[in-house]
Amino acid sequence: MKQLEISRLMDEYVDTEFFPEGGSAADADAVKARVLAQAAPAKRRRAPLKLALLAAALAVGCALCIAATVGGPVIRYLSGASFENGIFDSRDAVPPMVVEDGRVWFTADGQHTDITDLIDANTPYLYTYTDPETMAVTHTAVGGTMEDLGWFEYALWNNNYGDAGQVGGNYYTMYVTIDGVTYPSDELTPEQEAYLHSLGEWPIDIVYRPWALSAAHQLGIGIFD
Amino acid sequence: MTEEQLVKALRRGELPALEALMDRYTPYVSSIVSRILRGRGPDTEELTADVFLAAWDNRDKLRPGKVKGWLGAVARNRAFNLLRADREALPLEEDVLLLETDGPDRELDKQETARVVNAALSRLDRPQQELFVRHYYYGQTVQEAALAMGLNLSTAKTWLRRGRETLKTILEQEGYGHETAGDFQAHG
Repeated sequence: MKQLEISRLMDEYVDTEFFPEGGSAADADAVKARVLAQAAPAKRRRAPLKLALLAAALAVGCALCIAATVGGPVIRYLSGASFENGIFDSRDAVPPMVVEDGRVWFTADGQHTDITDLIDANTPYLYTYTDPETMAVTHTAVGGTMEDLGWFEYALWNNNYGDAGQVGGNYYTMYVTIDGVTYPSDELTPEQEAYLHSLGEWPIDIVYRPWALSAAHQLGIGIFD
Repeated sequence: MTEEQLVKALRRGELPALEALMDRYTPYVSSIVSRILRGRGPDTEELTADVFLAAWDNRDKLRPGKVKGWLGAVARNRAFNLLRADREALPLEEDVLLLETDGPDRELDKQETARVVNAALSRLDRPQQELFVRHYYYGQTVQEAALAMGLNLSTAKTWLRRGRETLKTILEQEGYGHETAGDFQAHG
């Protein structure tokens, strides 16, 4: 006699049409915190202006460095992030700017440049660096107002065919639309979150800062498309 | 953000895309997990998070239009495996098919299993397919599934039995076993 469990046979099935609703949802914020703690140890949105907090603001980045693999160059970002063998690590990334005495200073790559009058909500400051060893090109963009400063850094390698991804902070906001009204996703009330949970899916939109879009356009990189 | 944009962004390793994925699918994934785990709240949260970490680690495998199905399959399988590991009874009726074999044991590989299951489901009417998937895939009890589909319990049990018989028939046609005169053995 041979016994087969139907439930185990169904392990190889993938449902694409029934998706029954119902059942209680987990605490979405708790789930997100667990996931992001492993996918990226620290994240920032809306970096405040104070020097100490800016210095502590880590990039909203990408994959953690999970395991070493063989081959491929190590792409080192000016912010401290790195990309190696397909794994992006932003745990050591710091913003490329500081605010001192009411002025914004670009500090990546050993610079100390006053960029206060060079940036605004629509205008980025751009800095491009080519690593002489790997020939990887990193583009750093800083933009925004004093109250809403942000940045991102993006790397290309292998003659611009390799996309190493970007790291940054406060260069986008996620929004949710409820009954035609749009809210930042981190400002929803518990009632709004409960309502969205009942829908099953959240209508999310990511809105990049105008200066970030301008930077991507000027650099010719479609990373926010 | 379209799913295509979301998948592209995930593949680029963009953390906002992972957040968007969770915002979009946490209720769905956690509802699958909580339904199967039943009352194990902390495990539900942890396992839901594991599903998204698996999606992040396997983002190169995600395809636009198939993300929900992928997440659902991982959620469902991990929840069932947790119950099995803890030796807890699955919330299923007659989960076991009993086949007499008159030759060497033949193991089904994953691809064959998927083919057999899909073949069996395709022979059922759509409502019967739905009921079978609700119960044996998503772990809804017969009562819950019947209520959701507007069926009486007796009809639901009959439909599930038909699904089991169809699956058994196809397995036997594939040479896995042969027709027996006996009925299924009840489980649990």
